[in-house]
Amino acid sequence: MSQLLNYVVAGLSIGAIYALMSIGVVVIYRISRVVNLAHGAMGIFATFVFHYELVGRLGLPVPVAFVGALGVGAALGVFVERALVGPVRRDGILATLVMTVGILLVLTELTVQFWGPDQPVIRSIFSDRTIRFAGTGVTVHQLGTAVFVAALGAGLYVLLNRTRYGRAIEAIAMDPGAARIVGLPVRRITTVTWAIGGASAALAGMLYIHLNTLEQFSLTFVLISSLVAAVLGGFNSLPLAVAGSLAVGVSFSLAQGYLNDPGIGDLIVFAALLVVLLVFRSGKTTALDTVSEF
Amino acid sequence: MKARLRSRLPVLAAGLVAVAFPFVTSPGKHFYAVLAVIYSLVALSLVVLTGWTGQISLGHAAFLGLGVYAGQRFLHAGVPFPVVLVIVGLASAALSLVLAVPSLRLRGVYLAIVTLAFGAACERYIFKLGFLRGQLASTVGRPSFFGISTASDRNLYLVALAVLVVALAAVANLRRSDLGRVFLAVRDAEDAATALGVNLARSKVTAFAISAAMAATAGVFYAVLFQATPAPSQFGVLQSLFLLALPVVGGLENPAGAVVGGTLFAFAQPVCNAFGLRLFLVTGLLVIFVVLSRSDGLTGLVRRFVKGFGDAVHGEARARYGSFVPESAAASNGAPHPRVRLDAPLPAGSCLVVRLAASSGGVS
Repeated sequence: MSQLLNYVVAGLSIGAIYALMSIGVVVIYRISRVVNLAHGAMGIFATFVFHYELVGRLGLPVPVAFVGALGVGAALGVFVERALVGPVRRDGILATLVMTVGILLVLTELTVQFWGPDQPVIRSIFSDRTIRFAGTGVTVHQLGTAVFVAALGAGLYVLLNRTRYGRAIEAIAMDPGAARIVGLPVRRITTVTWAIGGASAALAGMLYIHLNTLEQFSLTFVLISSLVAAVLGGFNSLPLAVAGSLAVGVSFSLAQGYLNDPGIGDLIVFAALLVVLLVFRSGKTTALDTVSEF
Repeated sequence: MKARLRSRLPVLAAGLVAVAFPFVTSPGKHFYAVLAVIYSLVALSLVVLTGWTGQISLGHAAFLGLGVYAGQRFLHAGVPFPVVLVIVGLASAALSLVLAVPSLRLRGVYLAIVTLAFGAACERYIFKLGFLRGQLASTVGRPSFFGISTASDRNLYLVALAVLVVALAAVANLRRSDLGRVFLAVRDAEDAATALGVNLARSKVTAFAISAAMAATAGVFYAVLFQATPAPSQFGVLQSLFLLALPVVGGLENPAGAVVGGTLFAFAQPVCNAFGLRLFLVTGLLVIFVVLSRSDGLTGLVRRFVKGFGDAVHGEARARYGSFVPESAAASNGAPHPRVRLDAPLPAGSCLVVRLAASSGGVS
């Protein structure tokens, strides 16, 4: 029983990271109709800057460096949108997907080029003290991650679904030209939204890597799991993405725990993706894919 | 006949260079030549699948890996090399059903995500199963191919080159066949193709099968070249993205683009090492450049330049071609421009006879 609880807690903890990633992916998809495959790489790059530059070289206190890394992630998001994805957005799905693949390769390899292939353990703004309850325990870091997910998820949900800003994002995604005609600051809203997405990638990177070692490609595997959850909501629904992420995390953890096979999780992700796409979402997959001209 | 000969000239020249290459270079370079052929085969498989049929595969390294591991098993069992190529190709075509069946219901980015997850599952789980690779690497011998020993890299290169030439010829003929036209129709307008009675399921499954078989064939050569079975991470997600970059940089719609991309990246490895750069970094930069340039890879860039030069000479309006050109821009290209030249002023009441000559390789 307590072992089951252990696995569930561990699953929720990794699911929280998936949720952070899928929130970022959904937010970027909502504004640009682009599935950002480079999301994990953006998070990893910001995390490297956090560990080697802000904490390591400049010697900033961890909370300050943490905020600084979020800024790096946001700047990265803005750069990617302005210089790379934005210009080819209208060229179709092949162009945008291949572009994000290119960005993924460049960012992943730049980290190795700049900081070498070491895989250090990075610091967290939360302590690693364990709080015990009911035969299991969670670290403060894991609780803090959960709080971040809840706050960010709720905040963005309100922002996207209850405010004029969210409606503006929807309008821009559907028809940027018309959005501009009715007086929306299209460029600024696009930029701000990508900055939020980039910062959330950095957040997910720093929180995830603290639990693991700083491996260049690990966050992209996290991204694959997050995409399953994001697909569940058609890249549109934040609550479904978060719920799906937690479900994926728990099933991942249970499978690895009971089947005692580290790779089985990825097989489950693939199977879950097929089930989600072919059973739950059949016929609805093209509903949101329209992108009109600027 | 003369125009036909002229359009074949670059192909003939490239073939001559490819055959002569191992006889005029040092044996150290033969390794990269074999790698170039392997990469070209994989890139060619993606040209058929992604360039023509429009199904984006982000998990193609899985088929390469299957070729490596399954090929090693069969070669160890003493099956002749050519038979192994056929068996592994068929097995890989069968495995491709895992992706082809979802592709019947999914489009665009959803299918891409499925292939990505497929690649991850293969890397982390399937390739680690005992009957495929297991935890330990095993050695692969250099079998003879129809009596030709492949012990030296040069002979292996010539054998691989022969397989590539067969594949190139098959693919070039495929493009001109009914099925090739159906592939393009599926890519450009699935609904319209269905309305015209195209069997969507059959064409997609065929495209996946052809593509997977070619990639796995390349995998067998990969195993023979390295004489070992590399770790599954060599055929993982990152490698899949790299493999997609080969035809993207070379030219996704053109078999020549696959050869250009494959050769470029095979020989880029030592060059990158010499400059202390990471190969995948250069790959990513090239991909970004190609997508931003909106041309069909390097071959598309060259063709666009040649065409633009010709149009400038002839005073034609600018036209845009390639996979990354939005439909609206391609639509404004309009009909092929007939060139009418009058040698003398027309006498009144004369009958004008216009002969239209289709320019080679221009408009499909």
